[in-house]
Amino acid sequence: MKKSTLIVAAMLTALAMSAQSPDTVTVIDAPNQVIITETTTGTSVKVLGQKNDNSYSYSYSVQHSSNDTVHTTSDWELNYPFKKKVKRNAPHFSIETKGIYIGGGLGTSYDLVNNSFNWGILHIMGVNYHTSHGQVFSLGVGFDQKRFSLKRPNCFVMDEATNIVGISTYPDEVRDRSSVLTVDALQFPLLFQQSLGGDFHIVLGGSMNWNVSAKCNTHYKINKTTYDVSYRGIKQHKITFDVMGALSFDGLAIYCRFSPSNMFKQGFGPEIKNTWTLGGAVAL
Amino acid sequence: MKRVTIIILASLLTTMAAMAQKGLNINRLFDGRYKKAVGATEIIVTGSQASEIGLTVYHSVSVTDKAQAEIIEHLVVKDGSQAIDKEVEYRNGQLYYGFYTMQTRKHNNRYIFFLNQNLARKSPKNVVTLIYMEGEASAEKIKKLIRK
Repeated sequence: MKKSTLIVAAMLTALAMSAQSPDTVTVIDAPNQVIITETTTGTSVKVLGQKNDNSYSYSYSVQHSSNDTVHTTSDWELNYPFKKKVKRNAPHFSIETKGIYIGGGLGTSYDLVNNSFNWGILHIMGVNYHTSHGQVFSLGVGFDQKRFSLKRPNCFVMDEATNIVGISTYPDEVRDRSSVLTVDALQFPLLFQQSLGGDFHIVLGGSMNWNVSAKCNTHYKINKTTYDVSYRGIKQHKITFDVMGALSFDGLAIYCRFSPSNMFKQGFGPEIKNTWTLGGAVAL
Repeated sequence: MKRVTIIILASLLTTMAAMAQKGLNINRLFDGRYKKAVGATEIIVTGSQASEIGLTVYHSVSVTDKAQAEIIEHLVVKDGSQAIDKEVEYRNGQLYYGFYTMQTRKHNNRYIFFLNQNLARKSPKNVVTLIYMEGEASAEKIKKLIRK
């Protein structure tokens, strides 16, 4: 605009014509600034500065008459480039796989258990219900395995006639010995997740475990002979319950799980219950 | 700790943005008065987010309070008189919108945009918006950016 060498005020002419007044032609050489202001009552043109004369000023205005047709500009629809989009957290359902975990035992009620080990997946498939306030309730089906090993020199033995599991000791001079009770379960966790802000979440819940199989495996070597004895047909409790809690950050979590139920049915094995497990989890 | 960090960052951003508007009448509007004002929204963007669209500073204030709106309009018109280029529209004797190109500062273009949506014809809203932008972006680019 400033580089214009000549401005012919045709617009002024048009404006003047629209106002039914005589033509006005003004020639301004290389104006510095041209300001056109339209209002509902009229239009004005202001020119500031021209070639070799920065102090030059020219203004012209026309008032609309009642017979004028005024073409107005459209509204300015403002776009805020950085305005955050409001997230509408409408309650909704989702399906997902989550909570792969692995942990070690902190202790059980049974003194002869040396350590325990626990791994699994909370939801091989689960349904989540997301509230509008950041909570998630979920129910699903998963897998869980618990393993209990005995302190030396104790080992599991089973009377195959009665399927009663007892504790014995290894024969003398054995090497590479281990004796482990393994319980596999399909689990049905019901979980509650609460956002703590940012990527932090707390997860609380309980799980019903359907202990589909259990076995005791006792392994040892005497001289060059390896003994690997597996006992099946163990009378484990078919249904047990666990409670758990986890603190999660961006899907990585530490969890604590408590299993109050006895692994064996009453009278079919030692009382292994009140097991505490602490471990880590991903995708939780 | 998180709250303290946010306050410090917000203060730094405000200071940086306020310095950017130094010498303008609208500068006094960016003293933090709208941060906790009811019905007001203030957005300050600097750094990588702003540079993605060719700006070093983006500072906007939207108010619904009529008295505040009048103050903003008054200061914008005052700064607008110093603009090297401007595009304005008045409706009912009031400034409806104004896009002002100010003198460059440290080789950065500077723009002031004002919009009084109370004066919109289709769907008026009780919002008056002021945006100060500074950066290498051209006026055309800025207009495209802020117009739907």
